[in-house]
Amino acid sequence: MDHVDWQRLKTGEVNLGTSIMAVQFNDGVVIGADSRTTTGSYIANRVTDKLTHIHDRVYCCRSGSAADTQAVADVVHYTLQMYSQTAGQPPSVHTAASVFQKLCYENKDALSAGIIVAGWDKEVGPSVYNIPLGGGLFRQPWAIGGSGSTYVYGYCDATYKEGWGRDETVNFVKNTLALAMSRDGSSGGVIRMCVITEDGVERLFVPGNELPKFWEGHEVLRAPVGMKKVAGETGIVPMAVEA
Amino acid sequence: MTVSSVFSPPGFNFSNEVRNNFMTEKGLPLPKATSTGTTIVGCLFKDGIVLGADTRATEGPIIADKNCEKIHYITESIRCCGAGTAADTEFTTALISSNMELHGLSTGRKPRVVTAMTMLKQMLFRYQGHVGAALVLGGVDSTGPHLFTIHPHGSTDKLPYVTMGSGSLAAMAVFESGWQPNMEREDALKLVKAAISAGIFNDLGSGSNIDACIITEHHTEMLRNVEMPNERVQKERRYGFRRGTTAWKTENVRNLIVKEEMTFVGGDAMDTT
Amino acid sequence: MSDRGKSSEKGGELVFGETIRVPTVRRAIHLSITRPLSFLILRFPLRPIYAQQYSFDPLSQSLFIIASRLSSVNLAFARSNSMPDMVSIAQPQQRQFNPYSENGGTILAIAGADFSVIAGDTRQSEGYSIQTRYAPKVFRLTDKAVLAVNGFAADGNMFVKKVRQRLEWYRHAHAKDMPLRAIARLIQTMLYARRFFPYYVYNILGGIEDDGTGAVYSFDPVGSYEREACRAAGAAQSLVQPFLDNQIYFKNQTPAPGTSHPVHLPLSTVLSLVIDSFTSATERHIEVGDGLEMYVVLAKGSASVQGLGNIRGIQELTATDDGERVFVIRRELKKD
Repeated sequence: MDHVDWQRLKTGEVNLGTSIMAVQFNDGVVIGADSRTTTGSYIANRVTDKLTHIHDRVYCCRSGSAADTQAVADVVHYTLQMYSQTAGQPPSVHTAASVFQKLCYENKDALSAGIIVAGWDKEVGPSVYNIPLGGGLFRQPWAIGGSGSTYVYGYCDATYKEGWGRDETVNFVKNTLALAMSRDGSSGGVIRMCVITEDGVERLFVPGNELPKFWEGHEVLRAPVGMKKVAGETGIVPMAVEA
Repeated sequence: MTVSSVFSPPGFNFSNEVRNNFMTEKGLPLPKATSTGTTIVGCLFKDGIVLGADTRATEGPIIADKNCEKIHYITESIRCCGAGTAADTEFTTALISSNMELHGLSTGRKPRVVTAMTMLKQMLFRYQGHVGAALVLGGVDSTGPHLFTIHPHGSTDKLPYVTMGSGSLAAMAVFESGWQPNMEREDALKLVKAAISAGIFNDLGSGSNIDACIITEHHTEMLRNVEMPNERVQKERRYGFRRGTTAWKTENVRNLIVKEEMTFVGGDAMDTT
Repeated sequence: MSDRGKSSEKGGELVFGETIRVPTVRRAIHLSITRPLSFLILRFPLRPIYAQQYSFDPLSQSLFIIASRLSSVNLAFARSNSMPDMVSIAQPQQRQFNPYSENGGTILAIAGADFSVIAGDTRQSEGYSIQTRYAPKVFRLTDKAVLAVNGFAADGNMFVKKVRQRLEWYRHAHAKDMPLRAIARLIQTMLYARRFFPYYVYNILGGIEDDGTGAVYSFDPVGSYEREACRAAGAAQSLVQPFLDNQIYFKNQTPAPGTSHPVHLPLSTVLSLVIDSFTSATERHIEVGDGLEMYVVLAKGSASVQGLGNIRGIQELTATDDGERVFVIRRELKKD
């Protein structure tokens, strides 16, 4: 691992895009993802479900290669089915995350998978595990991933508070993802979310035309409000943008 | 003929890999495989699935086959359109078709579309994209109609309307503007035809005729060449050649009729009636 | 995190989301290049560097001069990497803007005894996309000269424009149209003038010589040319030329005993062969199709004009009286 082959990086995919997120709160976890899958600049699927069922109370958010993450998730799903049958009880989130980590770490040179595992178990309650590219395993109160995440680290750091309830957490996830999707060209589509608690898994869906809206730029690009109109001038603005 | 004394395992044979890598290094590239630069589509409708495909197969810019079949049989009510390397799509679908038949026999149930999808994705993932098959898999089973795309690296998507191949963008444009939930059979077929036509006329990798396949719970209808918008035109001249046009240097006539004489050696002749 | 080139091996793979790789090593490369080499790079004009990438046949040998000049740069790159004070381990690489593209299509011309037919399809494509179904590749230059251009369409159009400009200057200076053989030589010099940043086009010039015979001149992109009886060029050249060799030159055809093959074919036969060439090329080549334009140039007083009367959709383009005559015939080709 002592040299970077930029030539090969160039010909392949640098254009990897997604925005995924998981946040724990008092009673459970909220996970969320955008819905875009791309081949180069083509959107191969605009309604992808990147929130993948692993066990009754364990889900994962997938980022990276679609094929790799699906294959890994399938293997973990199978492993945990076998586990719960032999152990006679559902696996803990840490167990699930560890299986993911093992696969991602031992096959790091063959996989490009950035995965967030989240869920609820009776040992520790809600928990979120981040498994980034090389196959590390980190428990975090909140985790973001994918190319869109780089735009919203600051937002998350500034906004996240401990001790939130369900609704505040859902809003935090929804807003974070909407911000990431608006800045990252390779994230987009709709927002899919899951609220995983002891009682069950609730799926939430935000259509693409109902995403939360933030600052959209026209205040600056239009002529300042209250600027005096000079006689004979047509009110030229720096750049015409759609309202 | 002598039987090879070397053990030959089932599946792919990699014995020439070292040699081929060496030759590639020396500047002799591998021969180009026939690719089905293709438009293939599938769409969900009220009672099932409609699959569609064009019929052009290319080798680089040359049209290798003007009327090939890209909708492959998996089971009676599951079919699969293939794009990418022609040989890969053919053998992959044939293998999975065979395994599905065996699976059906051993379980005593009609095999499901997800089963075929899982078999295909696991095989393609195992080969890490080297088996270049891009597939549209559709069918109806006990759990209803299902439609999948499977990419060469083994990722899958489940959607109500899908396109693949070099003409997939042109075809998807048609679906994105024309598809509606719960369409009637005829409307769905019309939409699929329009999507394939978009590929045929706007994508150079696709061309010739339209194949379609309508799969419903109890019946599968394969519509081979359901539309032929690109019939060959009449030639201006006839290009027959006068007998004796080709020059020859020597003449050698061989008798191709095999004559055998049978001699019975001892005992009665065997009764071969 | 940034040091894995793995995902790139899977060209065209479906992806979503991944952490971004930071190009930390790139700066080191730049430093190692710019410091010891800036003087070298600055001395090279931009254009030869463009040319280095392309190796279409007729040029590959001559481009070697530039390639060797560039390779001296590459050597220097390599050396700078091995300098002890440099930490960089990255290989030198070239990333260049490519000013050329290839727009498909096919052209062909056949010379008769006192006529010439110059034809081309009208599809213009790039990769697997059709840019337009009607982009002419055949142009009337004068009443006795028609030029077909194939290859990179932008270069082709510009080249025709410049040839026409030179022909107009000639007409102003000499009060007559330039003779065909002179146009051929002009095209040669114009092409060779751009020896090291060529027009990426194959030209076929057809028309009538001063002696009244039909003529076809074919060119390579840097100006090598010869007069021939027939020539196909472009995407489907390898499909059409053997057919023409067989039907025009009667290659591989022994004549019936006591007879011989004709030296010149009548116009009607030639037109049929041209149409069949294009319908056949359309059948088997993805870049050929949509439309066909056939220009017919007749020598002064040619008897072949009788045969043209009943041709569907023929149009006369002759500009002057009492000289050669130019016609165009348009046909549809398959559009898939």
